[in-house]
Amino acid sequence: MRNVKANLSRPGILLALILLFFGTPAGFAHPMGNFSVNHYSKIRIGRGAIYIRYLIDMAEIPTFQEMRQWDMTPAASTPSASRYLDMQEQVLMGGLTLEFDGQTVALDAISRQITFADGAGGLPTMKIGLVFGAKLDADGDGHKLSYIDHNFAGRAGWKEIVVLGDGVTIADNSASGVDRSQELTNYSSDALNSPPQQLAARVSYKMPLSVPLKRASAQLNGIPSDRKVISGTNTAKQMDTRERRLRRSGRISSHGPTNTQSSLKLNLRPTLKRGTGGKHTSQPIYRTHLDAGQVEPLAAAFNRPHCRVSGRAPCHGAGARQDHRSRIPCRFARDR
Amino acid sequence: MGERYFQSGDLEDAESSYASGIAVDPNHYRSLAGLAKVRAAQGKSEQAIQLYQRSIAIVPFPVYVAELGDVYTKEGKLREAEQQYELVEYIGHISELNRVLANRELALFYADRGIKLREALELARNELAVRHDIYTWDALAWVLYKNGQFSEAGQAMEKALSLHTNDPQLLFHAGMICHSLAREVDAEDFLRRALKTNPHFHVLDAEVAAHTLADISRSLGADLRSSNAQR
Repeated sequence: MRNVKANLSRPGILLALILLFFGTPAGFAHPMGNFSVNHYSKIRIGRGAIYIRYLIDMAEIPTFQEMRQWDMTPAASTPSASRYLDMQEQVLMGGLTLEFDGQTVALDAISRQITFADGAGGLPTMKIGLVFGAKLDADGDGHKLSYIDHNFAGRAGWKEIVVLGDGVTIADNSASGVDRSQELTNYSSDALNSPPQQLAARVSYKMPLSVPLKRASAQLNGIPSDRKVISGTNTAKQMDTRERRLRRSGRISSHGPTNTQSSLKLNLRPTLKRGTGGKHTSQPIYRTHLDAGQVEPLAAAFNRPHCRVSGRAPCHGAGARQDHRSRIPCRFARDR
Repeated sequence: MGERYFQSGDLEDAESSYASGIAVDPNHYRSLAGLAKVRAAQGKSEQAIQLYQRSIAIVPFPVYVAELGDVYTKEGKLREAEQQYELVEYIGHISELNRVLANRELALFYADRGIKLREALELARNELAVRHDIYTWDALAWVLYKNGQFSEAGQAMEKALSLHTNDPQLLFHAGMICHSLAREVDAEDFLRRALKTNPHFHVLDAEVAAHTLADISRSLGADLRSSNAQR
């Protein structure tokens, strides 16, 4: 008994309590409990910029609370959901603190997406996906980053941070270099009793003396390739405008390999799917015949047809399950 | 401990007990809600609302959500109150989907609001099938009372009071049930004891108890005067 107690972390106890009050998910309920708010940050450190893919996955009860509080209809296409997403983007960004070599760094909101999916008894759950970026003035060879997620303090749930280097060498990382939940689509049953509770990360990294040209090109001077993906309410035109604005403001370096810009343009254009007879279909879809290292669509996190919950319900409250319309391949294998 | 102090009307000790809980763990949702209840009893509704909101942001425990709704009701913020009550129902619905036994609280919630009374009765009876403690008998009694089954409510209430528990909420229920059965002397005694134990035992029920007690006292006084006149 003593060992059992010792093994139960505080979040573990809280989660056990939650399951006691709100029940063990029986059918399609959220594996982390009906009122969990689950966090995920994937921090990619490039040579001149940092990029954060930030996901919030709300189970049935918090989704209902948000719907009531903000008068929001649980459908991504509605104006109320769009308004809510715009508001949450700012609120959630304000709840993140990023420091580079001891100095607070302002984040720039790059893209946003919201999806709803059925949870327990067909009740809606919600997943918000945001991408933030910031230019880093990293010209020395050793740097320190500190990241804190203050959002939904104290609320039970899965809290995961993944840190990856993109053209830099991570020397020390208090977070994980491994994506455990695959962007909150797979809550491993082993971890349910003690889900990760990582809300802060400290990282030190070094810049290699030289980077192969091809690699540097793919990084777009440190802004990771996701930067180019259009998602949420952004259109290609808006992103082009944003791109120009960022360049003017110096957030993205305007010098760099000349072929990068042309490949950026290429990436922004949806390509036409070829039918069997070689004719173009009328509906353009995004495909990744482009350089495999360049495109990592946020949308992939939302459109995986199946999420795996080992030993439990086949699907949970995250937004991955219902929308099979998009076929953007999952391209996160290299992260894991 | 805080809850026990509160029940006995000792708001000061209840406050320090909950405050020390929060000092140890600022996210202790039970202590936050407990202190919120104390603040509501002290008439500091704004602080109570903030504390309840903090507690619910950590764990939306349905009892506390309903209590927040009651504070909003008292403040006349009916839209906000309704949002909380809807959330309690929503949680109740999810609990049902998950086949969880959290029936007693939900039954009391429905009874307090005078909604879904048949469902509340079923919930209370189901709960009694697995739990036989005085609070389950109390829940059943209160739900029966709200369903207009006063005589059965009286019988259930007797079992709830079998241990002579000095809980003002129980005494309030007993008083109201006796009042419905025209046992006015008993009703007066129970309501008086409830308010004496803790004049602020519930943000809404305490007022109902005081009004009912005044009505009963007036009618008993009138009866006494008319019997004296007849002599």
